[in-house]
Amino acid sequence: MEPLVQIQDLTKNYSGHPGAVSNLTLELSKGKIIGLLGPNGSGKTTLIKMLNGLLVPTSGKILINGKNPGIETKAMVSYLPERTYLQQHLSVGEIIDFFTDFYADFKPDVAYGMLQNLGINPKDKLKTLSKGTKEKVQLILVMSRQADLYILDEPIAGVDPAARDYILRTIINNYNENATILLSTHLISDIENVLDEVIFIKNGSAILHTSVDSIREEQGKSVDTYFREVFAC
Amino acid sequence: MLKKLMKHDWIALSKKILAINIGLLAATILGIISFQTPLWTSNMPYLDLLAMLILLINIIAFIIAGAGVTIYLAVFFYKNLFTDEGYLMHTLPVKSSQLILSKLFTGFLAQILTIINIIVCVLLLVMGAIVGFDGFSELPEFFKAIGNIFSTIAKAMDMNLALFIIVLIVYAIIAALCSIMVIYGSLCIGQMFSKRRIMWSIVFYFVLYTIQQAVLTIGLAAFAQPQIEKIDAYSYQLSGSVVTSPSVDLTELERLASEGILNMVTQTLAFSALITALAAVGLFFLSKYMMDRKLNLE
Repeated sequence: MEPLVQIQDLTKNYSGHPGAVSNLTLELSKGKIIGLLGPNGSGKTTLIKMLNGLLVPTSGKILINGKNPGIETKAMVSYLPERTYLQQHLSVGEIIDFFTDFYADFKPDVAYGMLQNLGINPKDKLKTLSKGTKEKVQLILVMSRQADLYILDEPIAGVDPAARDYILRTIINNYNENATILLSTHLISDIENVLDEVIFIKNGSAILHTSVDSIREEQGKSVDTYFREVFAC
Repeated sequence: MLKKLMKHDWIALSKKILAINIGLLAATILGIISFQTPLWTSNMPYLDLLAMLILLINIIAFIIAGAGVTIYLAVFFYKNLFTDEGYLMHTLPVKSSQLILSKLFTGFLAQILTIINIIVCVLLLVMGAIVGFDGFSELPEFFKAIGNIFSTIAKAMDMNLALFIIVLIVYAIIAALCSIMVIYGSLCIGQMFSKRRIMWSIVFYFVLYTIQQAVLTIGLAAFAQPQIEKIDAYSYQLSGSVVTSPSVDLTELERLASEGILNMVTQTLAFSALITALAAVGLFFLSKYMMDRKLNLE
């Protein structure tokens, strides 16, 4: 089967900070939940930005469904950045209208259903919501798309454990099963039960790309424990 | 997609633009009401102070409307495209050119509506002052005087009034679009820097503005020079002919001199419009390149 994402010899150098991502080669299959794991500054967010067309690689190639990052790939990638990216003066309902206008695969009824489950009033302005609720709204928007690739950058950082459970349930219950989820996080123990595969990234290079089962079987350890060993300071 | 972007940009912009313009209108109404009271003619010290306060409110309202809208357009462009909100805007399935054009057209609309409001408010204030100080009977004279100003300018340029207004409007549209693109272009360059991005944007605003003005001035000087020389030659003949050559057709020389002036003004206006339009297009492509190849989100 043709991989969903093909990354070949990808390098991104920032002026003064060479090698944010360095000669990275990866293939992501369809229908998998993949953890992108690495310490701070390992190049996870740089890689995610390049996949979303927010950064131009210094060299190398990215193909998503055979296309270079651009308008076509943006229509098939649902991206959750690690920050609040919505206009704060808008109401939740207005933001849903915004997503409906621009993303052909966005399902407003799914979004309204999830908002109702969480007791979030669509008429509330985003600026009146707590940080955790804003993160939930963003996740609802991203997971209400029927995308081919979901890229979630630190979706559970900064929220309480109860909210983490909700977020993970939302991800599992709402993603298109033929789609792939690439999920970046530090909080491995919270998410490792939902992962099919993991990618360990260090100094901008992928040092491991394997299934969660193979780590458990071959190493006899949880992903969290193995991660701590690999990245021990 | 451009229509959808414009719709959402206008929703985001319009509330503040509307508030600024309603504020100006309210200040104007306050001014007009003050003209109908003895506030401006009385010698009482407290009334003088009140009159000064109303004058101050009006001046501030005009400054906010004039400069505030432009500053707000710059803030909106920067915030929406180069801060956290940029993570959404740049991952929408739209072209970078559509992002720029949407903000250019909605910004232009905001500026035009504000300029129209400013003109209307100035006229209302002047009319309010005329009615307050001289009575309603003087109003027709005021309208007649305004009509005369336009007719005189149009006559001087040997055009009919409608054509003159059309030329002015076209030039104003190009100049307004270019002034917005200078702001957007400088913000697109400023965002490349990792620190002090606003400061660098302001620096590049002045750099781009100065380059544009320099090109315009040099171009205009080169363009107008032959016409000025012709006019000088006719004027010289015209002054010398009175003494040296009575047979010279003075009417013809006068006609040639005024035709030279007319040509110069027309060509200068057209040339300015051309340079300004080229600058706007150049800045558009520069901004597009910056967004496509040099995007640096915080």
